[in-house]
Amino acid sequence: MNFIVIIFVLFLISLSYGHSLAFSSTFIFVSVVMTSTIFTHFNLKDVELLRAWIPDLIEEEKPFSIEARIHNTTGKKKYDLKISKGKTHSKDSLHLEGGQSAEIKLNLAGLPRGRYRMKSLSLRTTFPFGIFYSWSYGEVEKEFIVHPKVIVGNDLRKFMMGETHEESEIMVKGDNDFEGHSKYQEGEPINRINWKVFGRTRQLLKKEFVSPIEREVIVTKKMIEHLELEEGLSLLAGIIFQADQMGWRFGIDWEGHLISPDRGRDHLVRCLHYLGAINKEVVQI
Amino acid sequence: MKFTNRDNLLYFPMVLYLLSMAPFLGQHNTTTLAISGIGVLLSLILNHKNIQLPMLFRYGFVAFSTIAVFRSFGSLKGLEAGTGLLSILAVIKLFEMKKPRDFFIFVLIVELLLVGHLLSADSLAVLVYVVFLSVILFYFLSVFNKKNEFHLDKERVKITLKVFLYSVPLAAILFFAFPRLYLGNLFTSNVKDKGLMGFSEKLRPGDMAELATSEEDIFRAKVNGRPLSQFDMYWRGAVLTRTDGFNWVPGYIKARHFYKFFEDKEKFSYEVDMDKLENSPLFLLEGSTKVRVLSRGKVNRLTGHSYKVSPYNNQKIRYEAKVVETGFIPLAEKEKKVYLQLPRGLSPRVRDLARMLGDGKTFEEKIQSIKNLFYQKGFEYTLAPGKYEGEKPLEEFLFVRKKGFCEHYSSAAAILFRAMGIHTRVLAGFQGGEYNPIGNYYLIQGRDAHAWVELFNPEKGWVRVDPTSWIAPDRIRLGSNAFFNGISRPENISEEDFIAGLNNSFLKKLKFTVDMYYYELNRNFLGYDYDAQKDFFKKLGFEYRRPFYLFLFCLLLCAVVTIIVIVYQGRKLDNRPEFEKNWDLFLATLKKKNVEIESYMGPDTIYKQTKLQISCGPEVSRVFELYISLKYGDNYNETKARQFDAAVQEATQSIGQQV
Repeated sequence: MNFIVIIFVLFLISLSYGHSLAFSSTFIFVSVVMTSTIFTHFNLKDVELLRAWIPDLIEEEKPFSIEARIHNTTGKKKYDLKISKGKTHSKDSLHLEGGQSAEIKLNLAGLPRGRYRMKSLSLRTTFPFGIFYSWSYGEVEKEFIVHPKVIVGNDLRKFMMGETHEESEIMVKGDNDFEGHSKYQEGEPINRINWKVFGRTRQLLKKEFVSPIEREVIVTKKMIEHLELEEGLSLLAGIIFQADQMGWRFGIDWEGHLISPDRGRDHLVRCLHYLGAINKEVVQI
Repeated sequence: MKFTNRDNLLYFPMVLYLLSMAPFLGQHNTTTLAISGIGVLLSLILNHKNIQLPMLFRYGFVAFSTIAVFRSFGSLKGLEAGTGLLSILAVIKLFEMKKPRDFFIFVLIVELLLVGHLLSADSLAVLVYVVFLSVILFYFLSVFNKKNEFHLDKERVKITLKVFLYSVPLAAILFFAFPRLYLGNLFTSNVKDKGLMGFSEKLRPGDMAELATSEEDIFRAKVNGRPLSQFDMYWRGAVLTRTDGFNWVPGYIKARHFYKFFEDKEKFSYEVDMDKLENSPLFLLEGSTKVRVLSRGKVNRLTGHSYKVSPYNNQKIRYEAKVVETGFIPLAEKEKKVYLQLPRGLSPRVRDLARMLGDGKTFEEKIQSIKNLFYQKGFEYTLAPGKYEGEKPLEEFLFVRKKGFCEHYSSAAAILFRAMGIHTRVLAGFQGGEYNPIGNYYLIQGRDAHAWVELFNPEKGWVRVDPTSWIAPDRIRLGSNAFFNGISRPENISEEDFIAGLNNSFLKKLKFTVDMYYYELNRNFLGYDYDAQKDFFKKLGFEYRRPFYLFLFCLLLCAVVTIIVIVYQGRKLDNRPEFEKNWDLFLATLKKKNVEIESYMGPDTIYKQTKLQISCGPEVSRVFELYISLKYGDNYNETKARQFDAAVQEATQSIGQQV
């Protein structure tokens, strides 16, 4: 736009002065600008978007990065190539030799929870002078889910499967992993004997702990009934996230749809995606 | 060279700014230069100390500068005020040179500034400099286009030059074919008297010494017709009619014809291109008529068949005229008085001398008596006679020192002639000129500045008398070049041969050639106006009645050139790697064998399709495998590419043999 204004001003000066130097300087400027647009166009021509990678875990309202691999199908070097989505452009730019491919990263702003389809990405260049830009679209055609915001810091014991509130209270009193007592057998480590109980009852009893691998939590709609949906889902995402961090098994039971408790990253992604997609239609971006 | 420190970004624009200002310092006034200088220093210090100026200060600086420029020029309109303001705006942009976008804006301002300088200079040489600087500016635009780091690499130099080179045809078409419309003075102001050539329309004996010793070019004159002798070349500038007894000024006489011009008896015509941009008299040869000013400007007709032009739109003055036979027109009564005017206080000693020299003599005898006076009474020609500052300078010259040059002799002779009763006027202008045999024109320089007198002969009209030719005949006969360089003519060589010989050396020829190109380019380029454009297209066989048709023609040409550039660039882009071309050939072979291949299919799909439709040996699979690796693998590998080419050949043969 700036250049268009300057060209207009130069034209006015030329027509006002009406002599060769004013015209020639204007025409040189116009020609250079016009020629540079041709260069800009051809710098992007025959550059292809081969693939794009969208992260599987994208949290609501948190910036995320996608990566794309672009390929120069020509034998000529291409300069200052970028990818963009909407008004967001990749921070870095790429130069590609003839026949070369390379990856480029695009940082995107956070999105609201939901299901999205990214149809395409723009390839873009302002080469050589940054006066104009040329763009083309590369097909991505990928769906992705933005999971709810993760609110961590909840006491997971409150949501443990099969435990009553009372039991939870008892557990809080001692060691977090304490489950009960059993009879002490000879040869077992002496430090597991509960000496306080021995003092009271004169019985050698050892403390029993619950193994983390046996703990599990299943989040349900019931848990968040008293909350607004988005806040509740964030809470559930936090529980799942924490459970995953602590090595617990976790699952979802949402209005009869059950994701059985399990562990691992894929399972975490599945659960968070499930929460992200609740009551959401696919939105194209 | 690679830079990652953004602070370095300032230094390049600063150098570019200095390059865009340095050759044109003379075009700016003290206010502009002072503000710009302070700005540059300030931005250097701020950048060094890494201090960001508050926005308020920057706006304050803009406001202060605008007011200062307005006060200095009395307006913000016009070229001088405009370039002044732009130079300050560019400096202010230096303050905030932190991002490539700032540089982008800076380039736009500097481009406008350069156009301002170009218009002020009105010279083709400056256009070349401006284009050169624009190439550098655009190169840096290209460098800073990459936002995170910038390299000063050769590749981008090549690309920038390529863009400029490719834009030449388009610029040329626009230059020649875009209608030379004229909207009037939107941005323009008249040229102020700058006194660049040092020519004064007043004559104060001694003042011309500086000009007469300078080798600065004043104007070039192309004569169509016979070559001129030194005696033909009296370039009349100012006609001076009023004297105080030593100095002369134009005086006032109602402009009218002083000669009868016989238009049908044309001797020759000539065109003059002034070298300096300023208000100036037109320097015309005797007998000039049909004077036409070719550049834009206001023409004032002055006394004694002389003109003065105030150029518009910063155009150097160009004009043409014809020299024809003239007849005389008797003097009007009022004029007679004017041409005999002498100061009341003219020294009795001078009056006595005039009486002694002229009493009882004819017109011709009176001239001869003054010639004898200068010739025989110990008068001397010198450009350094010292100043005549006494109360009676004329007496001092005639009776005491007897030293001077054209101004002194012309003034003294004119006063003596008037005292003898001859109607006299003094002419200031140029005499002679160096002939450029290669370009067939005359170059008139400062040292050709001259003054002489014209006397009214009641029988013949105005006749020229040059007192300098009596005291320093070689100055007139051989020209100022030989005379001031102390080159004397051997007696056995004629004047013409002697002058021709002076121009025969290699260096002189080289100088003439360079000057000829400079002149012709300037003349044809700067003189390409609406009429010249019309003539140009007429010669090409394209006559148009309205500029609109030319505009359409221009658009058409531009479209054609743009398409040629696009096709040329596109053709070059077909230069894909060999393996891509071979892949296309391979696919063509498959299609011949009726394998259904669609444009959206990737290599994997095509492979599956091929396997379904023809029998695929390992050589075919190898082609697909290598292609995927080459195209989608991390590194392009020349060896692999060669293997691919071989595999394609093998597979094509194998497929071709299938029935």
